[in-house]
Amino acid sequence: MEDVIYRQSTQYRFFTFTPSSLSSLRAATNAHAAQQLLLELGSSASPELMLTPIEELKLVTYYLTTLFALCDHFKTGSAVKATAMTFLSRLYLRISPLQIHPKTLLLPILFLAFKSETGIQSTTWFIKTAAEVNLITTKEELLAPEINIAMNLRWSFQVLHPYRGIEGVKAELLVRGELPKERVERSCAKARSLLTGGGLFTDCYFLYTPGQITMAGLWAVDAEMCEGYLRSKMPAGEEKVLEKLLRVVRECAQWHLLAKTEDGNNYPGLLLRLPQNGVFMDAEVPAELKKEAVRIDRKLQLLRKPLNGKVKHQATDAAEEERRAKKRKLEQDKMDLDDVFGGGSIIPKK
Amino acid sequence: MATPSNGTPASTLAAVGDAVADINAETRDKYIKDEKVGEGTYAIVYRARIKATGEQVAIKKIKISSQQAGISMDSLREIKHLQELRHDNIVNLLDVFVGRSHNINAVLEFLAGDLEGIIKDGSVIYGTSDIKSWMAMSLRGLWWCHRNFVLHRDIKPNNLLYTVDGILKIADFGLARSFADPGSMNMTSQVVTRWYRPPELLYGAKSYSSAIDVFSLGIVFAELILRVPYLPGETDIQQMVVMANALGTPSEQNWPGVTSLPDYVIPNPDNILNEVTIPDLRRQFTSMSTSGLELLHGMIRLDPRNRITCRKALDSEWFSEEPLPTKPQDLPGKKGKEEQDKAGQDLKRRAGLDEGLGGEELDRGKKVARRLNFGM
Ligand SMILES: Nc1ncnc2c1ncn2[C@@H]1O[C@H](COP(=O)(O)OP(=O)(O)OP(=O)(O)O)[C@@H](O)[C@H]1O
Ligand SMILES: [Mg+2]
Repeated sequence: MEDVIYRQSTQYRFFTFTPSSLSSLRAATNAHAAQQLLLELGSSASPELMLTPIEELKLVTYYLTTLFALCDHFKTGSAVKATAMTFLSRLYLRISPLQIHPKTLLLPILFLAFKSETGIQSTTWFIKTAAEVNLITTKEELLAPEINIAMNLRWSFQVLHPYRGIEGVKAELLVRGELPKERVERSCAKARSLLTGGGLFTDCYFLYTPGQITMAGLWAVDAEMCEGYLRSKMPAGEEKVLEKLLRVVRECAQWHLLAKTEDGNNYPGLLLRLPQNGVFMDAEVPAELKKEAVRIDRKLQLLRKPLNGKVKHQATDAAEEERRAKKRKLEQDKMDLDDVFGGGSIIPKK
Repeated sequence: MATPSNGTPASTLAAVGDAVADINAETRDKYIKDEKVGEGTYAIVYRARIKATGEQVAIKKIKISSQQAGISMDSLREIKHLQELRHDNIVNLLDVFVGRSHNINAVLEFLAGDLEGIIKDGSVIYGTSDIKSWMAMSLRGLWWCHRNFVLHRDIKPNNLLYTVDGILKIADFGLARSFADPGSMNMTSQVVTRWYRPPELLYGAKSYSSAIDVFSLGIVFAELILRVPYLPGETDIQQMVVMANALGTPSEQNWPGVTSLPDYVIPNPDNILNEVTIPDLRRQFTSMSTSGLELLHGMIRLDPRNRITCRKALDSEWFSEEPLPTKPQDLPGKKGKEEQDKAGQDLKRRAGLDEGLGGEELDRGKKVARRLNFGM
């Protein structure tokens, strides 16, 4: 049943990947954006100046920490925070910082997350709260990007958050009373803060089901309790299923939630958010990684400098129409080449 | 912290996400819009066709452009929830696209009419079997919403639509919200159209459950039987009076804790009544069997904790006892002209068939009805 619901969800349909498909998507997005930017820059550009895919990943992850801090300032609570973080991660799967800088999207994303999770829609309050930390924005700047963000999120606003599952496990363990109350409460609280903290910087949401991540969060803080719980849930004779489940839970915990820079990389060559790849993953940024992010940021600014002032790629209808007309023309040319009868375009080809 | 005012304007987002803009344009071009078929507070609904197949769909175009105002809460809620809910008795969202003037368009399966239309149309005759069928389908759709932690918050006859094949679909998720986050509940009580609003919302409860939708559907149930609105209050205050006179005066005896709700009052101090009982209901709903009355009673209990869940309601004997629920395709309803003619023929054919219906077939029908599937 849980499975039926999950498989219907947009989280599963649009935002669940294998490690390698996630990595390829990121590579393709970077390659496409780099190529496009080179075209725009013309002769002044050199391909070496482009951001590499891993630099992009570092930069976006850095802005996740900014967003995280922003959420704390707004006292958003876990739901809005976790949703805003997920929105930002999801957006940069199919767009690249080469195209749009993540910092320009932080406030609109946070506002959309507020709307979606709580129904709060007062821009006045939001703008005032942002101004307290010197983020100056206007109602228009906040709202105008919304529809484009939604389009890029594939009109999916619901995020299934694994931290929500902790309460249920806690309640069940407390009722059973096999483990000391203090231990259950402490471990569940720690798991919750992991899943609403560092966990939001990992690729877990893209790779595992919410239920698996919930369990991995518990495993990370109290493996014995977690495994005992899972064993007790599994009917006798299902050892194979249990072993498989335990393997996934341990993998999610060890390879993602608990991953350390010095660990061996279990995903060699893949573009994943892992400390082994130098992608920083926590709310508190160490100085050298902050420096690195600032360096990438400056590189990006320099790169785009020649374009400043030029109004390019405005999302106007005219521009879009023109782009599509070009595309149609290209397709038509291709079609005409194929058409040995030299036929016109009266009958649209299916 | 970074200042968002320098850098690329965020409005170039769609254009730079080329693939996404293409998908949007392709989606938009997949449909041909025909005539307008309806208009609500925030949207205009058009009949449309899928270019490739000619299949009929509905396009719900949000009136205000999202360019300056952003996405309206109604459309955000509707899209958010319909994207996740796939069920036979919930309207199917096929696509979403942005139109040329930045209006959001939701492509929905085409629906032929709603229960309000049926209730109000004096020329439509329907009976217990038909009500059973509509109630079973509504309960299944609502069960799936609740199973997915979604509260509809605007159940009323006008939001219960049906297809040309008679399948009932819960629609209009503009007020829906998720209740997945346990604890921190601070929800608005300003939801649900007044006549269908449960007592806990009339009393300003900030924390409520799926029982609110069950109550609303219970009131729809009563209205289907009576063919007039069951609790038609003219103001919010009046609504409490009408409710208390029909269902009883909420008190600590029939609803422990009610007196501490923010807006608690005794609405009918001159006429304090006990909570309505099944025998009381029998006097008003004379055509109903005992199991039908039990179901109705369970849905409109004052204390939300006493109300039946959708899942339990579907197990009610009422759905498996005679007369059995009507098959969707045989339900009455305004359909297009051609469909109406066709339905007429079907009806004749079915009449012939019914005469030859042996006991064996009836038995099978019963079993089918008992094994109520939940559309999964
Ligand atoms: N999927 C659909 N297929 C066919 N017609 C539809 C569909 N959805 C809605 N309609 C028609 O369009 C009308 C407007 O629908 P909408 O849900 O926007 O508003 P409403 O529910 O009538 O009013 P309000 O916005 O005040 O709740 C409906 O009354 C109905 O007649
Ligand atoms: Mg409506």
